[in-house]
Amino acid sequence: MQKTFSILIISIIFISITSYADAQQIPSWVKNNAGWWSSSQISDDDFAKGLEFLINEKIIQIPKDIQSEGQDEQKIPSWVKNNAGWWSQGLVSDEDFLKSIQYLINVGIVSVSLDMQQETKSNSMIGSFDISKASPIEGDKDASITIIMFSDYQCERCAKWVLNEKQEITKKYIKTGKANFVVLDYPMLGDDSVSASEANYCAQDQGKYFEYHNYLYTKHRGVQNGWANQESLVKYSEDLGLDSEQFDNCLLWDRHSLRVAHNKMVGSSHGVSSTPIFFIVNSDGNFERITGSQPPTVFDRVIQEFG
Amino acid sequence: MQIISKQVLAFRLVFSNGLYVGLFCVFFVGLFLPLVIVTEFLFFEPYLVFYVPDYMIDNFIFIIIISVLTGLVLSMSIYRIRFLQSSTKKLRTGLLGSIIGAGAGACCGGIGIALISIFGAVGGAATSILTNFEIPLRVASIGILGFTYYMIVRDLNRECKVNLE
Repeated sequence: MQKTFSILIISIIFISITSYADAQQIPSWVKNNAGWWSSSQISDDDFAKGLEFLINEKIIQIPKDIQSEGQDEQKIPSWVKNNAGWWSQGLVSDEDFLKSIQYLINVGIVSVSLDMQQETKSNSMIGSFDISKASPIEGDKDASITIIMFSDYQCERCAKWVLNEKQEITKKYIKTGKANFVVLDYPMLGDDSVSASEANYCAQDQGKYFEYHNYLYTKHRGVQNGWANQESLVKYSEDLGLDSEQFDNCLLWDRHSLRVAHNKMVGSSHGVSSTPIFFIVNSDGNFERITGSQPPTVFDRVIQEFG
Repeated sequence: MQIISKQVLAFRLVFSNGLYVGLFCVFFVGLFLPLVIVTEFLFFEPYLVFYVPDYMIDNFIFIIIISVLTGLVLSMSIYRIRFLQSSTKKLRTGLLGSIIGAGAGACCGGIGIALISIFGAVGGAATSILTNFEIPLRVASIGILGFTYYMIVRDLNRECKVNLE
């Protein structure tokens, strides 16, 4: 089977990988993908998603200084496929495998979307908070105040705050452009919390992050009792009219697991240890912390002081 | 009427002593305060705020009932142990009811996180149970405390033939 390898859509192609990042960060699903691809159980496109993930997570880093021209259809050399199979079996090191990927990029078989990279860079920091892997920004991106919420989808107080208190904050600050709102994951109540966080990004892949986020909270029924398992999460995606097969694959391969882990790390580095926790960050990068599902009046007061 | 008069007798017997009124207050506040903090009705940062939203009113009422019953049961049990040399069984039952009531609803805040971080998977499972069965556990707690209270009042009436007049 000799399919062409057109991973991504955009025209600007980068050449040459400069470094292999920490190989230990490569998630197991990418390795499994490689094994299945080598035995032709999955398509080139499916395997390419794994590579795209490595690049976007900066496990493989690509410099921006050189741009290539458009890509022609090319064949994947058979040795790359063999390498992938050996790598999945542990016969080839991570570094050697990444070298073979470097080859694919060097010859222009694999390309990377500049749009995706720029999107990631453009809104990466709010004060000391790295929100490069956070939710989309709700509200005016240039608002002088940012409300950052660390949440766990299985946390009852988070659900109650979003369903009851947030409306007033949205009306007063987000819709008026005074503040914007960002969600960062802090899953801590079990595996379903992680899956639920990942599911939101799978919904984001299909352009419905906040729809899914809000819908998920309306479905809250406790902790680790099935309402947020994979089956249920896929069902919710169907309810919202998302492509459930794509959604299911996204969850199955833990495509956003590192993104969720990254967001949790951002929380830990700011002393988050429970949910919900909010940080009101002003344009100077100063922030005030609000712990727990506090009433909108507290947000009013903090925002007024910052304003 | 007889039930009410038994209550009044037991109350007058125990709480005519200021020490037991103090004990009741200590037990009540000692349970009520941590519970309103853990269940996020009382906040200390960035400002001191006491907030009971409409959608949490049932939870708040449960907390008051459990705290009051705990205060009554424990102070009356101590009275029985001190003056009537009774066994500590009812005190232990009362404590059990208080612990169940206090633990119910442990979730994203202090207790849940502490359980998970200290006991790992077992703590996680305990948190799940405490959270998923919050209302039944609180009702069970009130049931245990109510039953213990009833038994204490009955025993006090039976054991103390005191003419308060």
